[in-house]
Formats: sequence, C-alpha cells, structure tokens
Amino acid sequence: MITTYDISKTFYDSKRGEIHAVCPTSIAIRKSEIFGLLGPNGAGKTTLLRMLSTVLSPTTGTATINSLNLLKNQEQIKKNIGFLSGNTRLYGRLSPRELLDYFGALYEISPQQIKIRTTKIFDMLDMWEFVDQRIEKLSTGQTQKTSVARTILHDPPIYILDEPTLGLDILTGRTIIQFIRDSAAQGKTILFSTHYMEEAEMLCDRIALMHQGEILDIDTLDNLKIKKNKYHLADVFMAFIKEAP
Amino acid sequence: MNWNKVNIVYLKEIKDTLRDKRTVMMMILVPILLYPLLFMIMGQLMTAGTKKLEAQKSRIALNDSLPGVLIDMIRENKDFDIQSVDNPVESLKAKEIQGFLTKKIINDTLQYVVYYDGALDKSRLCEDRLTGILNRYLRQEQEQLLLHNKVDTSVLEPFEIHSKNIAPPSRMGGMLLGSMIPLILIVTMVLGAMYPAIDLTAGEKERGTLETILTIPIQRLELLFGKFLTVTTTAFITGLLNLASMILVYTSGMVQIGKLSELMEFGITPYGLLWLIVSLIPFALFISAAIISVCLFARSFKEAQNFVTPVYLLIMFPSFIAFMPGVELNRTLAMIPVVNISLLFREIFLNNYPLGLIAFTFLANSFVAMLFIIIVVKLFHVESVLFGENQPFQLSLKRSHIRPAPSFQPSSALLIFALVMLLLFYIGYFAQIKSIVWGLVITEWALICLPVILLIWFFKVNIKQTLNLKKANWTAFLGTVFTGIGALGVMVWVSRLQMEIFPEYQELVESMEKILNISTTPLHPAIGLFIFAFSPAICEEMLFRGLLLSSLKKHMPGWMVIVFVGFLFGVFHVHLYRIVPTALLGILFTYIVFRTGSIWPSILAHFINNSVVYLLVNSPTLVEKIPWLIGESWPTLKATLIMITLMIFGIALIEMRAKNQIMDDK
Ligand SMILES: Nc1ncnc2c1ncn2[C@@H]1O[C@H](COP(=O)(O)OP(=O)(O)OP(=O)(O)O)[C@@H](O)[C@H]1O
Ligand SMILES: [Mg+2]
Repeated sequence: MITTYDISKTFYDSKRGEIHAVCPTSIAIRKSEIFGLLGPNGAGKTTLLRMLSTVLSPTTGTATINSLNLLKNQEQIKKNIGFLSGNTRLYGRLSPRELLDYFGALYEISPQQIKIRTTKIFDMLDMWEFVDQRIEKLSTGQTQKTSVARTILHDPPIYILDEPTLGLDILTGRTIIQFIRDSAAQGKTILFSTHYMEEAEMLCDRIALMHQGEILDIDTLDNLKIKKNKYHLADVFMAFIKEAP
Repeated sequence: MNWNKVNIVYLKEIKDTLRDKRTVMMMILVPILLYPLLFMIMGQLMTAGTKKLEAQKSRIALNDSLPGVLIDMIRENKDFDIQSVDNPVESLKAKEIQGFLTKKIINDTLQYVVYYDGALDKSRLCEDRLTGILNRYLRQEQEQLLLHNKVDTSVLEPFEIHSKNIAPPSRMGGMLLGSMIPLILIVTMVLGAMYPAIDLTAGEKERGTLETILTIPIQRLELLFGKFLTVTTTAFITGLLNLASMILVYTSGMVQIGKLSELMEFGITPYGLLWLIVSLIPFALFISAAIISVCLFARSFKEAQNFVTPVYLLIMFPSFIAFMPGVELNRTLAMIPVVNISLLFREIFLNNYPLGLIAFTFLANSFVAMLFIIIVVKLFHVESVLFGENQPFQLSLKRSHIRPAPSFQPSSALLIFALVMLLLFYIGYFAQIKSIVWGLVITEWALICLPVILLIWFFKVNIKQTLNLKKANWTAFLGTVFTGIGALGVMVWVSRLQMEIFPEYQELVESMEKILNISTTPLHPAIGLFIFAFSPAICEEMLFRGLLLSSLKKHMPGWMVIVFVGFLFGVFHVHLYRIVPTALLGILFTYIVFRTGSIWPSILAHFINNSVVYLLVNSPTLVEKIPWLIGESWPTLKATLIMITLMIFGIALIEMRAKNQIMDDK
C-alpha cells in the first residue's frame, strides 16, 4: 500500500545548520496492516509521516501510496489518506459539525453523503454531546475525537496517524486504540507513530524502530524480541540504540 | 482552478472571520462610530470657538467729545459694554478694554479713530463692530445732509458691487470632503482588512490549521483565492459602512463646521455615490493582496502585526496626496496604487467622473493585486515560507559563531540589496553630484563591490557558489554576444514605446541625457569605458547575478527569480524612465546566468551594452546617421528584424548549451 524509495528530508536551519531529520529510508507497508513507527523525541517520525501525507516534499527519493507517485499525484493521494498529527489542528471558531461539513465539501462529497457519513462517525466516536459547540471550547479528548472524525471523514483506505493518543486519558486513549483495531479489521491500512511502547506492543502487526532519522530495523514484535532476546519492547529498543553507530 | 472550491473556502472564511470579535470591531464598529465622533468633536470645537467669541460683549471706552447720536447708537447696540477709564490707550494696552473710539480734527478734516489691538482676536472683533456702527452713522449723516439739500439719496449709490462664488456649495464641501475622506476611508479600510488578513494567514499558521488544510485535496491557489476574496470583502464592507456612516452624519445635520456650515451642504449625487462604491473595489483588492502577501511570511499573529505596520504606512503616505492642492488625477498618477484611489475619490466628491481615468485606476489596481496574488501563490508552495521555522536574517556579530553556508538566505540577500540602495542614496548620489567620474567609481567599487565581498567573507558563504564563478564555454559566450547586441535594439524599442505612451517622460529623458553626457569632462576613451562599462559590468553583476540570484534561486521557481532579480536591477537604477528598460535588460542578464550557471557571460553582456551606449552618447556623428539609436525616432524595420534575429539566435545558442550541460552533468 505504501512503499518508500530512499525517501529523505533535510532541513536547513540558520542556527543548527543542516538537520537530517529523515535519512534515506525504504519501507513497504502492506494492505490492512497496522504498521507502527516507534522512536524517541526527534527521531524523525513526524517528518516522515508529513512527507507521506504530502505536507512536506522530500529532499530526495519518493514513495508510492496506493500505487500513486508521491511527487506526481498529490491530489489523488490526498483523497486516499487521512492524516492526523499534533500539527493538524482544527478551526476553533467552528463546531465539529460545521468543520466536517466544510472538509466534506472540499473533498467533494455531496451534502446528503456528508450527513450520512457524519451521523455514522458521531455515533462511532460518541460525539453527539458536543457536535454543535465551538471547537475552541472542547476538551483535549473531545478535540482529538473531532480530529479523528476529520481524518476518516472521506473514508480513505489509508490512515496515517502521528501519535494519536498523545495527551489523552486512558479512557479516550482506549477509544482511539479500539478505533484503530476496528479500522484495520475493516481492511484499512494504518501507519502510526508513537513513543509509547505498550501501545505499539498492543496494536502493531509490524514495527519500525526509528532513531535519529535512521530506521534501525523493521519486523514483527515477536521477531524483534527474539533478535535481541529481550521480553519488553522497551529493552529491545534500548539494545538497538546501543548497537547503532 | 475549481471556483466551486474557492467559493466553499470563501463562505467558510467569511463565517470564521465574522466570529472573530477583533475583526468585527475593526470592520463594523470603528467605521460606524468614527465619523459621528470625529465630526461631532471637530464641529463642536470649531463652532464653540467662534460662538464664544461672538457672544462676548466688547468692552470699550468712548471719548466725551463724540456726538450724542453716535453714543446713543452704540448704547443701543447690545454688543458693547461701555467703560469709563482715565487713560483709554493705556487701558487698551493693558487689555482692560478692547477698543477706544475718539474724534479728531486734523487739517480741518473730521476723523473718527478706532484704537484697537490687532494681535488680539477679541480686539479685532471689537474694531469690526465699531467700524460697522461708524459706517451706519456715516450713511445716516450723508442721507440727512442730502435730504437737507433736497437731493435724492440714490446718488450715493450709482451702482452696486457683488461678488459671486460660482462653486456650488457641494463643490466647496467636496474640496474639504474630498481631501479628508480618502484618508479616512483608506485608513479604515486598511484596518478592516488587516485583522482578517493576519488571522487567515499567520493566525492559521500559528494555530496549526494550515497543515490540516494542506492534507486536503485543494490547490493552494484555490485556498489563497478564497482567503483573498474574504479579506477583499471585509475591506469593501468596511469601506461601505464608512461611506454610509459619513453620509448619514452629513445629511443629518449633525455637523456644523463653524461658519462654513451653510456652504458645506453634502453634495454627492446618487451617481457619484455609485462611482464611489465601485471604486472601493479595486482598492479593496489591492490592499488585501498587499497585506496578505506580507502576512504569509509571518509565523505568528504578533509577527504579522509587525510586518503589516510598514505596509500600512506605505499605503497611508501616498493617500496624503489628495491633500495637496494642484495635484490632479492624470494617466501617470492613475497607474500608482493608493495615489490613484485617493485622487479618484476627490474627483468624485467634486462631481467629476473621468471614466477613462477610472478605468485606468481600476486596471492598475487589479493588475497589481493580481501580481501580488500570483507571487504569493508561488511562494505559498515554498516550504520555508509555509512552515518557515528558521530565523530570518540574524546578525550575530561574532564571526566565529557563524557557520559556513553555500549561499545567503533570501531574506539576508534582500537586506543586503536594501543596504546597497541606502549606501547609494546617501553616499553614491552625493559623490556623483560632486564629481560624476569619481562618484561613479566610488559607487561601483566602494558601495557595491566592497560590501558584497566583505559580507561574503564575514558570513563565510561559499564565494564560488554565491557569485556563480563557474567557467562558461565559448557557446555560452557567443550566444551572449548575439543576445546582448540584439537586446540593444529591443531596449531602443521599449524606450521609444515608453516615450509614445508617456510623453510626460520627455523631460526625464533629457535630464538623463545630461547625466550620461560627460563630454564636459573629456576623458580618454579607455578611461571612459573603464568607468562606464567595465566597472558596472563587474560590480553590478556581482550583486545581482551573483549574490541575489544565487540566494534566491533555490526558493523560487526559475521564471520568477529571473523576473524578480531583473526587476530589482531596474529599481536599482532609481530612474522612473529607466526602470522598465533596465529591468528588461536585467531579466535578460539574469536569464543568461540562470541558464549557463556562470556569471562571466552576463559580465560580458553588461560590458557590451554599456560600452555601446557610452560610445553612442559620445560620438554625435554616429547618432546623426542613425537617429533611432538614441530613441529619437522608431527603429527601421530592417534594423528591428536584424536585432530580433540576433537575439533569438543568441538565446538558441544559450539554450543549446544549457541542454548539453544538463546532459553532461548527468
Ligand atoms: N520545519 C523544520 N525545520 C527545521 N527542523 C525541523 C523541522 N521539523 C522538524 N525538524 C527537526 O527534525 C528532527 C526530527 O523532528 P520530528 O518532528 O520528525 O521528530 P519526531 O520523531 O516526530 O519527534 P517527537 O516524538 O518529539 O514528535 C528534529 O531534530 C527537529 O528539530
Ligand atoms: Mg512528532
């Protein structure tokens, strides 16, 4: 579903000079897979996901998403993915309902379809209580639910979620995790990043360990554990980092 | 572009904007409240001043010798308060009284004399009142005398004198209105546009919603257009409300501007009002485009406010033009945004509707707005503008702290350009006035070349990359020579065309010729060529095709860099008449370096160009034979064709070379 070819991103900052946020990376994510991107702060997770969702253009390399070339078919790709990150915030002066109507219209979904779709989403994420309140007045959890609603509004085959549970309480966090599981069961491909080890352990089919812009390894959780002969993912991760040059 | 999406964005942004209290305040409350407040206060101050004065009685002293009839007349008049003082003149000086009336006989003539203090308003008023009474008394006496001699009193007035002010009251009002209102209108419209513009650009960046919208299938042009129309709408509504409030205030008679109140009847016709409303549109387009383009560079609301302030001032100053007497809207002025609008507003208030100029104004504003939008859309693609997290130009004065870099940041490069311009203004022109030869040498080497070299050294930027010091091969040079010669013809054409369209520039041309004509200071041709051709070719190319081009080209699409650097080159020559031709020349030079990757061909082209111009100006015989060379007539068809062919051939060579080079690089 998603394949990257030596994709990389270098930022230029006048203070820090060149920052290799993502070093040339090639990964392949299969259909209906939950693929976890695991790494500490500054590993380059967000940058990688931003490139895959066409927000940033790669410095070198490219990727295909649902067989569409990242550099050429940006419009099409945008219809195929739902991207959620800490940076994709919402218009505070609109209500969740108005917001979804707006984005729906931009996705060129008909008003009737939008109504059907939003009703379904509001049910699923239990949002009815606050759909007509201004977003700026919502709690973190309610806002995150609205963000998720926005991400899946156009029913894309691929979800790209950057730390979807960041800052949420256990209850809302669980709702989101459950939502990811259900989506995968329905055949969605999910690429998500986190630095919570348990979350990765709970959800992912395969995990990529990322550190300082480099992918250290990609494998299933079990195989990773066997490779380093450790039981906890956190220990596995530490072992990888120690070996890294 | 999908207009349906633009419309969706537009409707949403309008809704969003109307929910923002700050915007609503600026857009609705300020213009509505401003006028009544302003005029009420102004009117009250003015009328209060005169009323107070007129309500006061004048304290006067009268000489005992005055005839009883006159004293009675003064007594009956309620304006006076008669005092008895010992020394009237001293009392007047001590401001105890405002006037003193006495009677004298000098050389057998009877004289009534009014003493007053001309430096005091009150005393002048008193003098006015006393002479009024004296005139009535004089008239009375004359009539009695005539009656006594049985002569008809009409002999006193064989004719009457009238002066008639042909300006209708509305025109008088128009003068004042027409000067005040553009300013107020412009200021409030800018204020009305400012908040939504900041909110929809920098505000969106700051709140992180920009990234969300970028994950959605909408073109950046569509998004920007929706925003642009939103800001235009708010500016327009602000303007409308402003007009409405002003008309209301005027028609409701809330204002009484002193004695002028009868003359100041509000005189705008419905037709004029229509034109006024229509002309708000191009201005709204212009300011929203200008403000949005600046705000896009800001990362936060606060930063955007800082960025907007200079723009705000830049927009405001030209609007003062409407206050200047004698400046009237003409074709040249109609091309300058803001100036044209403020003058157009004034014309309309004077009940003039110059349709041609209105159309011109419209076109000029829309064109500039479009230009802004196109540039902004291009920049909107550039990541460093969208998510620019890197600092703008930072002056860390410890060289050891500076990291080497391949070239300057665009912001730094533009700052350097501004610096050179400043040096030029404050030192260069001064030096050139003192001595044209030395002035030019100093300008080129000390004010352009030296700073560029020093800055490159200080900021540790790679000199080879920054100045494009790559070798070029002979095809590139050959192409350049052909293009350069051909371009001369094009230049002549453009100058000539410019002269036909704007004959006003004739004087400027002549003044320029004086500058170029250095025959007063005879020079050896070699020295002349060194000063006028070689020095600019080296120094100016270093700045424009070197530093500016190399630091901007990574951040803009190719065609835009070429046009932009060319445009800066035109601006650099600070001569209204020379801007267009030199900018075109600059575009050509920039193109050559952009395609060949080397500065040497453009140095050659610049040298050829300047040498030819120098030689022409200093060899009158040649000019006599071929008058079109200096723009005195249109170039002949044959010459034009040859020039164009040369240029196309040259460009073809350069293109060929550039293609080969790309192949080589691969
Ligand atoms: N726009 C930018 N300009 C300059 N540097 C950037 C930019 N965005 C990210 N970086 C740098 O790139 C590196 C990777 O950042 P990134 O946000 O991708 O990390 P992350 O893995 O998502 O971290 P976190 O877990 O903290 O979210 C960091 O060093 C960061 O400072
Ligand atoms: Mg991150």
